Amino acid sequence: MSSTSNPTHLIPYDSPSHQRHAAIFGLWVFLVTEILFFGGMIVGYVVYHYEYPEAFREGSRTLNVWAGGAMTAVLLLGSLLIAVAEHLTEEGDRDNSQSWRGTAVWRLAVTACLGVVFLGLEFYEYHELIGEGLFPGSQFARQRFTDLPYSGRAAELFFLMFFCMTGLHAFHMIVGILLVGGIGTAIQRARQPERLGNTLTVIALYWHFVDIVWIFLYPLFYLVR
Amino acid sequence: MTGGLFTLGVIIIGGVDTGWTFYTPYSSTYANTWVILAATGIFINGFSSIATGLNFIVSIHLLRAPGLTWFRLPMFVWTTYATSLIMVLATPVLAVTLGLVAVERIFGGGIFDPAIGGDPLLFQHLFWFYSHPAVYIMILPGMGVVSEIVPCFARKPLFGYGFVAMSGLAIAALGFLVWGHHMFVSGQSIYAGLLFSFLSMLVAIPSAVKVFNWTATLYKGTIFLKTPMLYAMGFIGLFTIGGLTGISLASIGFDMHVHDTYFIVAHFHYIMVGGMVMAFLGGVHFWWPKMTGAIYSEWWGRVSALIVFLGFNLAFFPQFILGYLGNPRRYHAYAEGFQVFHIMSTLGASILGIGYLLPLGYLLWSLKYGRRASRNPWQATGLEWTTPSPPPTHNFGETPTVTGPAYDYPPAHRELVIGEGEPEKN
Ligand SMILES: [Cu+2]
Repeated sequence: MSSTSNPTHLIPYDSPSHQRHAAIFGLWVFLVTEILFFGGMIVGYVVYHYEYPEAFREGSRTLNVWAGGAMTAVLLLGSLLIAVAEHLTEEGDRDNSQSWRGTAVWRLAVTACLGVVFLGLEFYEYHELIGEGLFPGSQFARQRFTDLPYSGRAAELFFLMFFCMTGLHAFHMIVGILLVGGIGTAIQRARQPERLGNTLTVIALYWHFVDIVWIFLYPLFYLVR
Repeated sequence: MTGGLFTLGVIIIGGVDTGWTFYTPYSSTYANTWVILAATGIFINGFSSIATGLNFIVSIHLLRAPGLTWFRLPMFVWTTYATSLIMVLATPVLAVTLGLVAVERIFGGGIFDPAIGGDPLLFQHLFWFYSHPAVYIMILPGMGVVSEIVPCFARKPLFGYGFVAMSGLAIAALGFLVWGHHMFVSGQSIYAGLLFSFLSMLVAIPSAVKVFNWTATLYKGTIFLKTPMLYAMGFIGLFTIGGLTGISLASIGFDMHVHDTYFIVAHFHYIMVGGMVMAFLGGVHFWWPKMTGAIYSEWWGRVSALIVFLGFNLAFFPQFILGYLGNPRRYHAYAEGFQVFHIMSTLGASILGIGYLLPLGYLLWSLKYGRRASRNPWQATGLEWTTPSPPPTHNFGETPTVTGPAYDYPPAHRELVIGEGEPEKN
């Protein structure tokens, strides 16, 4: 089968497009598992929002809508840039030219930086909340919510869900930033960067997914009041 | 491996006192043992399940040989596909649930602790959303194995191929809608209970489709009672008993009566041991010549298949009676009148143990002293039988092309010798 010294695709596949198809399909299946992963938590959120609507309203008021909005904008811009970078790679692959490399790498770098900005904003918000004693646990400032069920501990549930879900999202962001940074560096250095196209597509898909998760988290925690 | 190290390590350093279900708030608030470490192990194993399922799904979609259309796939591939769907869809939910238990233990706060506003039932729902389908993860591959063995040793095509394939997917799909039958006495809404009861009974339909199709395959077949076939026949009978008692358990009234008794234990073991383990042993004996290139002793194989079947029934059938009479599970002591059944059960378990040890002996023996297997000792269809035994690392030197349906068994001839070790001349 692939006896050439420089094969364009790995052994079980018939052609490069076959391999590309498999990579993308595999990532989609992976994203389905991620949906269920976050889905389990969203079920938890829905249950407690339904049981303690007051507590969730109070909890949401302590969050900064504008900061959350800015974070959303930052993420969406990053998604746009990575989509453009991926498009450039595909075109470069078709034209067999190398000119796309610089522009693609530049866009990937900005995307990764925007991810870092997002995390900066998010961790700043965490810092503020923890400073106000709103991190769940024995330190939780439940005296602020004494008129809520379970002498304020219902509000603790809001923050528990908030930290769990946004924390899990932040973890995915860190992975995403490392991946985007990594693929940018790899494209910069590779002798045949067009062969990283599959990897870039897969990473871009992952990045879009992580953005979409935030598109759900933002209204759940910041906008539903 | 890493996940297994965690969970085994936990058992060695003291175990967990939560029961296997990790029900909250025992596990989240009150347990003083290594819950988080155990959860970490399960979490890591979950990753490997997801990766395995993902690999199978993509491979089955995109890496079939030329000519190997969906409806020419061996049934084992179909059931592996159904199993993989369950693995990728259900496992993440268990992972996130265990994550929440860990968070609750580390940071406090009461996701699942009713004393401070949490909802322990939420844990049960999330847990069984994985753990019911998990049972189908175990049984579906067994059904696939039986679907391979029965046509081969009846020398007939599998009856109703399309129905058998689709019933596997139907079992996988329905499996996601029945988790509430583990919670009939948990205080969930009675209407939810009714719905779950009805949906659980629906699972019987695709399961019965399979059983009837295997039986129809046997009809007028030329049946060779070789070791794998003995196990497959055992599977069909025991799975049917397990399945029928499953329908009874799905009806809420009866479930209230036998809830948490030996009846549940017996039902579960008829499916898992009588079903899955029998199918596993059948599969091991069916593919042993292919996997290792060695022929085991047919006489010993048949004897131990018989011992396993008898021992199993003696061990678990009395438990149906015990449970029905009200002997609860998970207690070491029981009322005096129950003793005779417990003695039968213990005796059966010992016989079963012997039946399990024997294959370990003669299979290992065959590796060194057994005759060498030909490419296709059972005269079976299927691509794996066209490779040398054992197959080389690159299974096929040249990608094979499939031209016909699976289980294209020629009209049987009684004098056919199968299971022989002499290498054929190619
Ligand atoms: Cu179940």
